Amino acid sequence: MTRRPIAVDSLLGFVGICVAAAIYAWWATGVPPFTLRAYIAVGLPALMLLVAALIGPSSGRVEAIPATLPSGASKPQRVFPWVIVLVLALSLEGLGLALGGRSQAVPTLSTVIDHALSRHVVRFILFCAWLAAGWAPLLRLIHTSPTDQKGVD
Amino acid sequence: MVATVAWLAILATAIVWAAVSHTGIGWASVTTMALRLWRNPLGRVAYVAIWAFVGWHVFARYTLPR
Repeated sequence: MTRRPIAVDSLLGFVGICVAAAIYAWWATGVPPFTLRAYIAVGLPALMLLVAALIGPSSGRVEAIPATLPSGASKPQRVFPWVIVLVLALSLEGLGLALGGRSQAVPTLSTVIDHALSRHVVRFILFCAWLAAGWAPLLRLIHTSPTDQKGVD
Repeated sequence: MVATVAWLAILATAIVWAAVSHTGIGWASVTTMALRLWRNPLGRVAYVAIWAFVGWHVFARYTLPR
């Protein structure tokens, strides 16, 4: 699976999308939590992604996603390093929840993040990362040439 | 304090893992795993649902510490 060369208009479009997303993220992270506006600020990009995932132009291309390394090697990619990280995180979260969820000694991930979220700039950066994580697979599929995907798998 | 450091260590490990996965060592990258999930409609919906829950929990329902 290779990628299309990036044209100037595509690059400008990408930059425009990034700027628009950044403006939206700044607004969304300035909204007080537990309000209707906060739910809309998070729900809008989620709803857009859900619609794009189900009926979007690239939804028909996903069958061509390779299960092997990008270099074409037949060796399957190992996921055990991620499993280790996931098990450690779940264990720590489980311990924090078992201690009541508000323990000073073993805080849950939410409690740790809450301290970071007290600053607007941190909320903005995390929101941008959240948007990128959600939309990345779809943008990757759009950016991948359909002709390059033929014969993959 | 120790647990907070542990959380930061887990986060740092994940970032290092993400970087290492792009060196051709044979570890699945985050993008690859996400794309694998996008192979079928149910996987796509699951991905969006998990992602939306994280956003809802972190950005719409956070509590500022006193």
